[in-house]
Amino acid sequence: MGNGDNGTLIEKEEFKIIESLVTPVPPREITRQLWGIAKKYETAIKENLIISIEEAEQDRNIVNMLFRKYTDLKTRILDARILQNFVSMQRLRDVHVIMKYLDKSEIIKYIAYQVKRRGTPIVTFTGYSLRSTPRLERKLTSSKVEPKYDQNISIFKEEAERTLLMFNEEIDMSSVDKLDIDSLKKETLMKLKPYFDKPIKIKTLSHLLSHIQLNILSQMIRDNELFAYKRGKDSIIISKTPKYLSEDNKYETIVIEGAEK
Amino acid sequence: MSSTFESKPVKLDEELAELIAVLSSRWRALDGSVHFGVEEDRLKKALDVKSRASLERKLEEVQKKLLPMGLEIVRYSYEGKFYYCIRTIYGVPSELTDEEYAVLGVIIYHIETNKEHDYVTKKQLEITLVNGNYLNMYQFEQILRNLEMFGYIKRRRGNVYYGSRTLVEFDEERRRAIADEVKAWLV
Repeated sequence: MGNGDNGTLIEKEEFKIIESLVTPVPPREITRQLWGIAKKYETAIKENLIISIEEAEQDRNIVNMLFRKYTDLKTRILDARILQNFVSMQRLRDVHVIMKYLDKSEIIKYIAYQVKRRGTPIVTFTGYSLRSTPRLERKLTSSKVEPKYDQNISIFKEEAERTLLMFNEEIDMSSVDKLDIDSLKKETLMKLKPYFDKPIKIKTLSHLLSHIQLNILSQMIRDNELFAYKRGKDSIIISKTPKYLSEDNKYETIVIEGAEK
Repeated sequence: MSSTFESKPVKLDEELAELIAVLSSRWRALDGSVHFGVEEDRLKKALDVKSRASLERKLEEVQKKLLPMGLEIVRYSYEGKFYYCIRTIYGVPSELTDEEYAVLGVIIYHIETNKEHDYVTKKQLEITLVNGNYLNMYQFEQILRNLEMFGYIKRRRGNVYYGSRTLVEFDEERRRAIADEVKAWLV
């Protein structure tokens, strides 16, 4: 490696060579993969179909991985197009979630706002006055448009409340007192007993414990009642004593989804 | 006791005043459709100019006076004729209610996404808005009538077309943006 500008140049070149040696991807293959992803999202957005977060994350990983190998401007433009698609898909996903909790009149108001803010109205000072002609005024007052939700507001409210209740049921909002917590702790410890001081796969843990038990486990680790150490990429060791603790330990948060119980 | 304001005498540019008055007028044609501003040929005759270039040179002078007020002169064509009118530069609310704006948005969405025709059938709108429980039939009919009266749409044989006002107030890019928004919200 040289010094100064030359040095940097050489370093960059070396980096490129190593990259291509490890995982050689031909440029045509990069373009093909990127096109595949771009088209997939564009079709879904056009047809109002939602692509799950998990799938989107996988695609994002592929794009991130390929990003290092982009060489020409065309591929970079394609990359920007895909990122734009990711954003649009996220927006579509958000709208679908929000729409569940909005009644129709609110949606009408939102659409009205979107149209209103984009209009550059014609200005009229003279001539045929649309609203103030007596004949038309009579016609308008006799058939005034009343918002629909005035008649059916109770139905909309009931619907909204029902949806909210369903939502609450889904995320299990039941309260837990101290006795419950103690019994839950015992249950969790009983289940974990055969696995103490042994490497256990994170996946096994997620099958073994429910959401609440995992939550309790997380609290016990936080309160130093139990000690957990990450070993490798996908396994951890749970212990009752801090025997593996050293100054070099790094703390890391692991999110585990529990079994549905 | 009454008092009067004594202002300094102002020299009134009569041609300019008349032009602004005529450009900001609205009127109804024999077929009932609403038009805004003034027809190009009539303006040429009134100003005694022969070509469009010399007419536009005159209008540029008016434009300079209007710009500080946030207004601009636009030329638009509708059904084979050309008109000049005044519109705002910035997005401000017009005289429509929220429901009317929303229905206009849905009409824009249907027409912009239809690649074969430049209209949307009333039945299609009814399916989206009435069957979708956004409006009742009475509201829907009334709103369509109002939109037609204000010059935003034109109805012929059960089909709804853009009126001149929609084309002037919402340019192509904005109509596409509205169509995208409506598509995301109207499932």
